[in-house]
Amino acid sequence: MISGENKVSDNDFPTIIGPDASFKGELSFEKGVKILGSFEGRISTKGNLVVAAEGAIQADVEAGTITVEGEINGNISAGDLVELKNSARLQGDLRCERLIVVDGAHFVGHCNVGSDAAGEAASPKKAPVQAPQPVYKPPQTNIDSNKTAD
Amino acid sequence: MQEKTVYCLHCGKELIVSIRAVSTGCPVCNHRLSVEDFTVTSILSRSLIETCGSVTITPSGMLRACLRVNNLFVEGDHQGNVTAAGKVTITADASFAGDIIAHRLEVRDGALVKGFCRIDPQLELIPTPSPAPAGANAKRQPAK
Repeated sequence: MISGENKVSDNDFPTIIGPDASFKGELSFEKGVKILGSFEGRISTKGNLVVAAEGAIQADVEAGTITVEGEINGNISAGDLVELKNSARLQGDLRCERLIVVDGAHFVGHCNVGSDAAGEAASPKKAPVQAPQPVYKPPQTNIDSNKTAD
Repeated sequence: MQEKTVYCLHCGKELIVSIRAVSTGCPVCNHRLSVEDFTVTSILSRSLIETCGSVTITPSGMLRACLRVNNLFVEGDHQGNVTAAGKVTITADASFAGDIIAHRLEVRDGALVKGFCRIDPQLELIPTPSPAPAGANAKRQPAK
């Protein structure tokens, strides 16, 4: 599977989804993955993700580094770097600390690049903690107080 | 005489003008066009800059404006939306906040970018003329 132009070291990408593979579901990994086929679902990792030129994914992606040569439909969020090569086609929002776009890439979506964006990407959004609401207690009528003094 | 090729911002007609030209008229749509190249070296604030040429923001430049240009080269700071018929380049130490609609985009490592991007070489950037509202040319009837 790995030959010619697609030379990658096994250390960098222990997981490769081949060009004839189609994967649907949730993918999480530690080191890196290279997608040459098609993927649908969700990807979550601290490592590197490479979508090769022939790869196409429809997924929300959270990763350390994302390199796109193929097609992504979905929001992507990287703790460090997103690189869109000249053959890349990205349709979705992008959030990362560093961005490289090579001339020729297609991109439609919101873009937020910088250390603040990476911070938001690294820490998942927490639901806002609501302040405890004061419980309304209706004034209780004291039956004894209605007693007429003798 | 040195010449350059520009494209009309309104109809897309290819025009060949002298590199010294400041403006020209489009023979197709009759719009007056600025063909100047602008370089921003300091703080500048405008509502709209429209040119068939290029805009360059130097590292010391800070521009707040909506741009409708052919090419944009940002080395400094820019705030505002951009529509570019050519290429938008954002260099390593540049900062860009605004929406980008362009045929080509290049972002170098280290640049700060915030906004909506629509980058497509086949994108139709020339606005199609909107039809006149119904009854716009009708004679006003006196109120009874």
